[in-house]
Amino acid sequence: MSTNMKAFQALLAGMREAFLDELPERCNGFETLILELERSTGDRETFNELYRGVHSLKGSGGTHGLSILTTLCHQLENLLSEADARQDFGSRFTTHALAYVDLLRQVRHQAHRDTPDYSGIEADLEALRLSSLQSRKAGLIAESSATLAGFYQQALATLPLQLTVVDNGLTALERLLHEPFDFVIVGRELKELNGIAMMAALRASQTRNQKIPALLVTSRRDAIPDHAGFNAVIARDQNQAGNLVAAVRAALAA
Amino acid sequence: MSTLQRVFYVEDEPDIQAVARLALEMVGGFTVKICSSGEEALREVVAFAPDLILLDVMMPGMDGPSTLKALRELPSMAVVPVAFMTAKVQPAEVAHFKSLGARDVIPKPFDPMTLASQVRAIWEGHHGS
Repeated sequence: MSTNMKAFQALLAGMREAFLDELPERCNGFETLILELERSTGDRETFNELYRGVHSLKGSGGTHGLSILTTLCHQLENLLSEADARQDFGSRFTTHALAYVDLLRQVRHQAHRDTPDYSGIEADLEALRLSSLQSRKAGLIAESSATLAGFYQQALATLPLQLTVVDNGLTALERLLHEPFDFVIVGRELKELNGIAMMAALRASQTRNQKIPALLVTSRRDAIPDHAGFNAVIARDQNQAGNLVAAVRAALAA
Repeated sequence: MSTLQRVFYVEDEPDIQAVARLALEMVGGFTVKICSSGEEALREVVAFAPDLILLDVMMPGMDGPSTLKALRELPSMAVVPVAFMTAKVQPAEVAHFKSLGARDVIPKPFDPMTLASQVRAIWEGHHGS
């Protein structure tokens, strides 16, 4: 290896060390903001500062080769988004958010070992994710109309679900490729990428959501291509609320 | 074909800026200018006269696609090759970024050891070698 490359690697290693040394301070900052969020019941400025900090750590961690940090921050971002959507920053949110920060702290300790082993942190992370879900199932609603998305949420309110709503096909695909969901409800016409193309891309992917149940809600009567792999098609008519609930029940029972 | 010398990078994260600068300057031997926002980029880009532009996608204020659109309205930036740097690299996502006028997409997190060669390959692809 050339002297220049050795010097480059030494500089990179130094930057990574400095980054890891700053991690506890970042975690302290996150903890303060999480507690402030509970105290202020979701102050917008506090929320934005925390979300930006977590997002920043996600990017920096990946750049320093610490993919475990990226994964942890991604799930903490999800927890924050969900709490924000429900405007619920109560003690349950605080407990889970602080548990994520504890796992972030453990990364520094593990990264300093000769042969870092993040499997313990990964196992705790999965347990934490399941605990925050409880027995609820996670569903994604991809629908360009906020009115219709709200209508679906209302119709499904009696089921034990954790619903995430996106209005853009590309965003829906991105989330389906990177986050675990138990089912997806898809509107046909979505921004950026239509619902059928989005589902075809998901079915062709090698991800954990590749085979999850997918329900298409549409007012059109033309044929749906097989490669999109929809498990049910629900017509937009006066019965759609009841049909949607029945289809979600059936999909989750299968 | 002239050689790639001047690389302009728009990225809001200081940690990522530092690693990218090191990789592009030390390994690639490029002259690098980094801006922290799309707005700053629009003020600085003409004077720097880049051979190639790298754009982060998710930034506060102007995001990467908005910055690209605004850059293209500057006459001297109309054809300078642009690559997005993003974690969104599924085929449909890459196709979307290319449809906006990007030459290519560099996945994030990038590998500091190979970033310079990825950037050079995009430049060479643009110039048809």
